[in-house]
Amino acid sequence: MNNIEWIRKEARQWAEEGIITPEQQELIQMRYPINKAGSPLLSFFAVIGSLLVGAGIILVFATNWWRLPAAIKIMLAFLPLLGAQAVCLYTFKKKWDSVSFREGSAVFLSLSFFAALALIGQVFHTPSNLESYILVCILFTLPGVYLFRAKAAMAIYIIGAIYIGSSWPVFVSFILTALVLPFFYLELKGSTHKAVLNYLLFLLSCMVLNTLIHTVLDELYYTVTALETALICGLAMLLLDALFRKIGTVYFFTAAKLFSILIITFTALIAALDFSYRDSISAEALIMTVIITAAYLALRYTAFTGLAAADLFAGTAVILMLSSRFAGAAATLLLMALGIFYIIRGSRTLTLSNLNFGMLLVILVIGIRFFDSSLDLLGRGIIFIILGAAFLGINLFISRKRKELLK
Amino acid sequence: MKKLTCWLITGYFILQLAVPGYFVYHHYDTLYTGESYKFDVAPYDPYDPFRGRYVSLSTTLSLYSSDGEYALLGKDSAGYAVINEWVSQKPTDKPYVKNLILNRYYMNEKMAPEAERIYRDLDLDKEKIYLLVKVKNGDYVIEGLYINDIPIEQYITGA
Repeated sequence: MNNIEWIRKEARQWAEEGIITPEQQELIQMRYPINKAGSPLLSFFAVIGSLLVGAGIILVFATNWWRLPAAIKIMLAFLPLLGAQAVCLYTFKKKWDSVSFREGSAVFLSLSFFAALALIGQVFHTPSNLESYILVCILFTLPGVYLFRAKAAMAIYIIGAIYIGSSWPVFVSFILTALVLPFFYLELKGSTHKAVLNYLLFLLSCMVLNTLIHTVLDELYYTVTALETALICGLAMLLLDALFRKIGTVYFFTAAKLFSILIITFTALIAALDFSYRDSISAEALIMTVIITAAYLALRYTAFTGLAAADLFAGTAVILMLSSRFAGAAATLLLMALGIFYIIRGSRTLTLSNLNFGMLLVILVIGIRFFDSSLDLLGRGIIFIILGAAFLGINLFISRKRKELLK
Repeated sequence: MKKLTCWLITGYFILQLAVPGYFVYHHYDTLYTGESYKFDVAPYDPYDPFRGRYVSLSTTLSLYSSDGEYALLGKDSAGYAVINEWVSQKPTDKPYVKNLILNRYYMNEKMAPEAERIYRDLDLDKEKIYLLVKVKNGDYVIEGLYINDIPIEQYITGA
């Protein structure tokens, strides 16, 4: 039960008890209508599920089953792709109106193509570098974005484009951006809400920063990484959101703020995986972070409002940037703290989306550390037992609270 | 509209299958009908997040031409590749390669570090490590990495 369902239930009870009139109850219910568009959570979990299955297939293939003959490996490479195509056909024929199915199947299709090319490249020891491989894969993701109107598949495309853009000539970034811009136009035209702006804003901010780094600030070309660019853009959008809130009542950065929160979370997850943050952070990225944070803090301070979730994410971005080569450990702790924060908030307000976001963060951190072979087995075992017990306790607490409320 | 989308999706799926399918056909053709060459290599062990662990290779023979020239390949008495000549016109009757890149050999994640260690311990005066490559019409496919004429996977496992 979320806040809206709760207030509607309360209003019904007040009317029954004579605290308010039935007309007043109706007015309250009109003010807080039930969202009939379906739960975005379902779409979210369809995407997450597809991502996990696709990423899992890639990992299984990357293990390199060297005893298997090449012919069998090649057949295996096509299996997920054919499976994903079958799922997409089913979606097209039977579930075209379901956003969850369209998003999920397009993501699965994209990642299956990634997996197929990866395994074939592995079997024949293809000499192409990672950027070329990702470029081919995202170009084959793009038709799926348009045909299935899948924003999640577009996210894969954008992440790939940003990765390529950080090391290839700047015109490649422009072309890749131009290829996806019609999708924004189509989405904006067909959409009654402006949620799609979050992608557009983020993409454009990353592209602009990339272009700036490549052209105006050419000396930064080799120092500022794609991850730092993403983090700075996320932080900058939080700043813009705070600025718009201060300037006027009309602002459309709410969606952008949500996306920047997701980007900071995603960056923290990448840092927790410890791929790119082994080396110390660049001084230039640090200066940009400090400037944006100072402006953000100044705005937030003059706004005289209480601590908001956005502040936590801004803090996360800054700590992550400052923690330099310890970013892997810092990201783990930050994500765990954010996860627990959302679990507590979700349990207090009984908001399922908050609760699940928190749970998801914690599960992801656990997953990352589970596969971390640099920690010894005993240490991992003890940490997992403690965390498992904590989660069981939280679950017990929430279920009791829900029962009390329903009584 | 739905019919058009259906055709577009079908075309997209066929293209998605055709691209890896073409790679497979092309590589198999070179592998089975190409000519074998040995290349002296030195491996070390990095990681690709999508395609897994591989040994990165550097060849002792320089195979890159900044002018985009074609290298006419020959063999020495032991079967190792040598460059007979660099030409600017695409050859029609002689084996050739253009900017041949032999930098990756994918291996199981446990074997790749082992391969690097074995290479460090090799006495290169007495022992040899080479890459066997099939070449056909300028295309090439790596057949295997060999230590003393034994495939490296067998060498490591002792199988």
